[in-house]
Amino acid sequence: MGSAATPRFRFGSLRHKEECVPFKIIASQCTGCSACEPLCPNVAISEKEGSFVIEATKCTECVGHFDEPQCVAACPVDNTCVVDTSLPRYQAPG
Amino acid sequence: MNAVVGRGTYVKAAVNHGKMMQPTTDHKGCCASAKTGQASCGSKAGQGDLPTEIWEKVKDHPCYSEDAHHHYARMHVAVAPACNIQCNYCNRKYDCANESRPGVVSEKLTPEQAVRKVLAIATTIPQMTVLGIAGPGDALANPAKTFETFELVSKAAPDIKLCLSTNGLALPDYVDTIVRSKIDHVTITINMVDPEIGAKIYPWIFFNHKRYTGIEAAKILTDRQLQGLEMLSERGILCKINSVMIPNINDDHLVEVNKAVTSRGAFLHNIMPLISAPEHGTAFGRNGQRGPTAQELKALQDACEGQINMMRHCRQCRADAVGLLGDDRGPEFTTDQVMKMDVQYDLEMRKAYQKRVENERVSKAEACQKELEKLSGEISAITLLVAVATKGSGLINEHFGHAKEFQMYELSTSGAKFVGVRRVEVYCQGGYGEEDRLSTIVRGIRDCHAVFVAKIGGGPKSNLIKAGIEPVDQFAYEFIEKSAIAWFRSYLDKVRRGEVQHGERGDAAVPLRISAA
Repeated sequence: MGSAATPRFRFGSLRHKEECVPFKIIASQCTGCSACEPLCPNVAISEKEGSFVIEATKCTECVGHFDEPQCVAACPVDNTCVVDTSLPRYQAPG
Repeated sequence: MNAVVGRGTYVKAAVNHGKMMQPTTDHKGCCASAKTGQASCGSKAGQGDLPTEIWEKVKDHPCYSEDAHHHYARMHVAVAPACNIQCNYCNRKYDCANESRPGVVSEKLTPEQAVRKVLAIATTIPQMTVLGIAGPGDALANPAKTFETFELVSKAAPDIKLCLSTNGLALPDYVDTIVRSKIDHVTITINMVDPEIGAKIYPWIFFNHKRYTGIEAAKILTDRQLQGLEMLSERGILCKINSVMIPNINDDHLVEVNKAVTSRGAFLHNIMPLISAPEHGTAFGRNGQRGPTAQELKALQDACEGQINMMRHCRQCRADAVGLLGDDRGPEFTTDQVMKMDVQYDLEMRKAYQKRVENERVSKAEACQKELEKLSGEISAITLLVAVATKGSGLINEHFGHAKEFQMYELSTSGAKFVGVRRVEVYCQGGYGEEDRLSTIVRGIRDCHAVFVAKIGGGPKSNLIKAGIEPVDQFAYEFIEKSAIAWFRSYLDKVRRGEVQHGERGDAAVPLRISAA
């Protein structure tokens, strides 16, 4: 998921709003382990009925904070923190 | 033991040095006395040649002292669900009440719920002396919950010993917190010191906000593990090293791991067999990676013994296990039940109970010592294995048909030495046994010359005799070691008189774990 060579995840870069979509957690795959929760720089993750959810309006894909989305990097189950294509795209400030 | 050699260099080392039979003078084991060169039952109920300050730390810790595990219980609270690495032998999605292995729990707890559970169990099971946090993820990947739980417990129940288990990745960052929290036992799981081998065990780690894979990940992990171990040793915290034995991946290499951790001050090394049933859904389970046989495991443990004590009584328990090591009472203490219990923490009652346990341990050691003296004139090269059905207290106090596991003792003219545990399905349920289960059990202990039981039915008795295993029930409810040595003396007598032809038994094909699910 992204690397330093990919401009859209470059540390501290401003991104174009159309390039960013928030992440979501597939509830049926979530183990409820909580690994993602404290890592989120936007405090967008919370527990709900045994699994975790990402508040879409707060998610910034960690751009400006870390090289890679923290929830994806820490999640023990592959393809559980995924891009949510059903939601309107995140509007970067400015 | 030459009869059970597998492949690999470690076996050769064991045979050459004969370490199993002759504990060296600097042997740190809590079960062998260097002064007499004789196994088991030191004069102070298991202290052996341990310095008193160390013995004080381990004497009632069932995981750190084999002797203690017959008498004292531990509990885990599942407050640490997150993990910072992925291991090929672990599947984080799996959760089943029937399954007993690390990383599995039925419900996770908040620190407040955990304290309530600790107090409830400390009151119900007064021989529970140790609280551990072992996951189901990694204790140090959940530092807030882990240390809050320890702080609350040490205030409410200051006599309970605190310990934690970790994969070591975050360990160097928390050594000072561990010291401050009065945690005096830490277990680190170290499966390799060579990143190329590590890359076959760990697909990834999460470190410093980044996911690393392959050799790079394993290099970071091993560096952090060994650094953490050194830091804890410097601060006088007892460290146990857990290593998972994975045939053809790290089995030979664990001798190197043993040296690396010994030189960094580890107190105890616990080499455990890989658990990899396909239905567990782990990477190793799915790709058909097998676990070691009982004999392969024992040969490796024997090869590593010498400078550091080897743990052989591990039951690879769940991250929410409660009770004596062989008898998980976790299901009795769900959060709902614990919240309903009226808990009055009674330190005096606990102390009085534990005093009785200590008296029992002293009697056990004295009885063993007495029997051992009778053996002192014997000269024989015979070394054999026996299985014992017990539910604790160091007694032969379990019926053959009810045994969930058999404790294995190696008998020689040096005495009785505990060498491991075999789990089996319960043979007798509802009063009648089932034939196929019985034959599975017989196969599971077919490398033994005898099985010691409190009671045994006629059917199983004749099956065991047919398989060449002597069922021994004349020592029912007596101490294990004392009885085993007494039986061994009469066995040697029979061999001498020509009544019994002594022969080597069994082969390496014993399944180590017969699933209960």
